[in-house]
Amino acid sequence: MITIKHLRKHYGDLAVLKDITTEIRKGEVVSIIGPSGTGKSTLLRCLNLLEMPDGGSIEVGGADLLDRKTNVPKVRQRMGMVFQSFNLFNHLSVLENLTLGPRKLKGMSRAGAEAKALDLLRLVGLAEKVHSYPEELSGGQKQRVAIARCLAMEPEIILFDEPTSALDPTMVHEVLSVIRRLARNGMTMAIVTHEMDFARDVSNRVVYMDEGVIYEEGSPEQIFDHPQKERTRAFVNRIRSYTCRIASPDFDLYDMNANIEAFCEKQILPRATRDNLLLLVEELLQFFRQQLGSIVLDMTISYVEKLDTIEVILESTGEPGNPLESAQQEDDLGLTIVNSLIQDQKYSRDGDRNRLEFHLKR
Amino acid sequence: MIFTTRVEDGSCVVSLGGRLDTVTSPACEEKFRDLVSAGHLAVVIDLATLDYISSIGLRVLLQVARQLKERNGKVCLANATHNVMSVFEMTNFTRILLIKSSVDEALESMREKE
Repeated sequence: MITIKHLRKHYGDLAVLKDITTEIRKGEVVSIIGPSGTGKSTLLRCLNLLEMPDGGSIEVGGADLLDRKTNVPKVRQRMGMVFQSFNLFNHLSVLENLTLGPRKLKGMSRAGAEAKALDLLRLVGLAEKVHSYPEELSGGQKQRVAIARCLAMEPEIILFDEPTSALDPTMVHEVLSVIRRLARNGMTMAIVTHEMDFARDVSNRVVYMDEGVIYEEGSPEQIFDHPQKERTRAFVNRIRSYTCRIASPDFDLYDMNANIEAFCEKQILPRATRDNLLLLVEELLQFFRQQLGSIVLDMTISYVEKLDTIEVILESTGEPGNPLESAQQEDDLGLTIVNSLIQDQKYSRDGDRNRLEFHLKR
Repeated sequence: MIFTTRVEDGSCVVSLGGRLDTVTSPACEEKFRDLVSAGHLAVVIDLATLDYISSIGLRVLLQVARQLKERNGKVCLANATHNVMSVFEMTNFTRILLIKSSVDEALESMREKE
């Protein structure tokens, strides 16, 4: 249906889309996920030329959208778009919002357009609002009217740009229900969304975008349950991390502690968890102290929100071996404290680096 | 780290405050060494305002106990905060050093040992 090849878009020096190649096949529901600012909405807006790409190609049903000979308004009519901010015409009633396009652009009769509009309003559960104005509607109702307005033009594909992001959480469900119904009815859709559970349920394919490229794509099971790439995994598991590098035995423990405390506060972790984490970090670093200066140590502390777990990973250069076993300690006090604070640990050799992974007990 | 001393009931009561960790332990160890060298052989360590202790801090306390024992002295800890007590329990410190709930109880235990 839509074939995108090597699409590029930049704003000044900022490359928002670097090289996008993908396709949306008829009947597919494709969810586009990824961090904010990564080009998801820009991609969608390029597909119907609300933004003009700087390179690459977009074919819609075989018609090259960027070819000067192409009747772009005609091609655009085959695509509907639903925006985050609804974009209803506030000076028109719900009925007028729905009938304007079919009458002016498709030459439908008033009676025909109104009959169709009523059917669509029933589909989205808003028949009783037919004569209301947008200002009289809730956010969820406005978005459902926006979807109905889109359907009134009988599009072959609907592009949804974060359809629920501007909604109160209590209204998200009503809009997602309408979109699910469209999916069940076989509508081809591309949906930019932050609703991960919804994307998993409704999609045939999920595209994870990061830094202006398609970083990973696959079935919902692949992307959400078995992501192959690290950034995908971090995003879908809502993993947030703090990383630091320690290269000297005289590292600033208190500066590191302040950063760890700030990280914990941001994740709204309990005080006890924070205290245990600080103690664990200090004790673990003691095992590396003698070597610091001749090795480099990278520490990553990650909070996996989905699992409510805290991971501490220490990667170090130097001779192969588990530092917790090989480091010379005057007693086992440090190791006893570490073992009391962790759920599990894992040592591995990754290329030329030792890797220790710990999960903090909760 | 805060390290203040007072003499009470024949014992030297040392109030430790803040953190006893990699950064503060060396200075704390030196202060304890000076205290013992100055002849204070009955020491109560008040931990009421000590928020944090790591293994290196535990070693400082063990070192104090060792030095006092060599001189036939004695030491008792008191008022451990929740965090500090938790570390004592992890490491079975409660079996190694005498720990009381208050300075008064610690002072009393010093008298009993006589």
